[in-house]
Amino acid sequence: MTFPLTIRNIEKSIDEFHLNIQDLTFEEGTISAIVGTNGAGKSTFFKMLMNLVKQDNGEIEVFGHSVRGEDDAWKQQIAYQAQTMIGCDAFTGEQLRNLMAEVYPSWDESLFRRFSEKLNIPLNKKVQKLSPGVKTKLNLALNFGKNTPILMLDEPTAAMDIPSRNYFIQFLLELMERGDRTVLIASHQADDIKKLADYLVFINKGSVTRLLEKDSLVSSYRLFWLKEEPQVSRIPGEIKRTYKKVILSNHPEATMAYLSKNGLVIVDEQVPELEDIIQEILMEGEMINV
Amino acid sequence: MDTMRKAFWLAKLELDVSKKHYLLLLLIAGIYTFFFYLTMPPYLEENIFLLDAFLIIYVGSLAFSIKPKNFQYQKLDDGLYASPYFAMLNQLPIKRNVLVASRFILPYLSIFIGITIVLVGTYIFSTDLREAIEPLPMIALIITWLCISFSIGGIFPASDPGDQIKRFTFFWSYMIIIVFFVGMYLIFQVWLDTGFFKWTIQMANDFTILSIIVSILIACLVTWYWFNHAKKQIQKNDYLQ
Repeated sequence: MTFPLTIRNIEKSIDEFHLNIQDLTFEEGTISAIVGTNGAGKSTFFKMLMNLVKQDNGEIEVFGHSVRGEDDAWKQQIAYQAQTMIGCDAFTGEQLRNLMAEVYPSWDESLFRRFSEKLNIPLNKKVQKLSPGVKTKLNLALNFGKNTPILMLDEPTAAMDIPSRNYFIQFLLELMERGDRTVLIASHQADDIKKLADYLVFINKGSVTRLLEKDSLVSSYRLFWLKEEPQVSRIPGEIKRTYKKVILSNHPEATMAYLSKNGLVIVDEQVPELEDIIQEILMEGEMINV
Repeated sequence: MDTMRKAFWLAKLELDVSKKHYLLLLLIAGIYTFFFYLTMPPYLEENIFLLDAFLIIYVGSLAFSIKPKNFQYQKLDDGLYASPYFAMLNQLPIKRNVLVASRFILPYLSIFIGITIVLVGTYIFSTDLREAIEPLPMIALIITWLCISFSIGGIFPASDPGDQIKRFTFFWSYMIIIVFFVGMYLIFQVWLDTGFFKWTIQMANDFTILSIIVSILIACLVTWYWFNHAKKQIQKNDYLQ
């Protein structure tokens, strides 16, 4: 079976920074969130997928075609939105639309118009005169218009207002209903990840986890409110303790077994918020294996 | 054929946003025509090096004077200097041959316009130049200078994909320019006791057809080199921005 995007053991070193990705396969009909702190390597990862940053080793394939080959036809399968809209300042939205419609055979005018009209994007203004938020909206409209099977969005909602962000999420979810698209999204917005992602990939200091199913990840964490403070400094599965009696565990069964064995009473038990889990993974550097 | 059609389409898109820069090109061409008209009589008599130097500077400036700032070679990140517009196009599904070819069209068009205006203008206004060269060899001279200009000016579109600039890169670039001018001075002024432009007049007069053939051949070879250099740079550079 040919997957939209396959990565096999790629490595890249830039000065002191080293990025290593073992094996990753992104399937059709899924949204994967690439999560990491600033400078973790998310943008570099995207640029490597686009062959804009060249890997030192390994292989990246788009629908079975290597991105390093002489033929760049695979780019027709990907709409890539970088963090900044580089080289577009002199053009208007309409001129950029003409360019994209010319180079993407899959261009869908109705998708472009619907998104840009709903968000009131001024298509006759030069990009350099647009605010960062409007630039992002225009960039999204252009990338939706490309109507490609793979969509890679690098922090697409960073500068957007709340209504536009909500519309973007709704629009993207609607596009996913057809089931033949693969979306990779890098975001710092926990809400976006929560609403959109099926899978998560964590990047931390150049190391990359495998694809983690979001719901399994969330359910593998548990918050325990205890009646009394445990006497030991760290109990099995514990990764964080707050207010002396609240334990965050990434091995709930092991934690519960210990608590029960030692007669520690659980007052309340909760699945933590995704944001809290991401916080733990990124800040504590815990690269999980679930 | 399809490559060229697509390359011209991209060039036209670029032309749409850089039209006003062509007015600047006409202004610069007018100023240089006036300068050459004034300096041609003493140059033809005494081989003034300054005219040769200004002609080369003019040739060099033609290829990038028509580019809006956003299209020009500039610092993109810590090490990479490239054209932001090129970096944007490189993200799109455009064949490398089309992409690179499209970068050459407008600079070569501006060279064509700029050189033709200056040489034809100078020929019309300068009696001394008309006395130095007949109309037919003058055509050969224009072709020769177009070819020289394409060969020199080709460096600008070839640089659009970018270069990794290290600590001494600019220093060595300036050194190469200085060596080029010193070399030109030593070869023509000292060794051959003539000026570069004057030497091309002589070639066009004495070997009209041959000078056309050799010029076109050299321009094709150098352009081919620049074209391949640009393609190699695309595969070599990391576009981190």
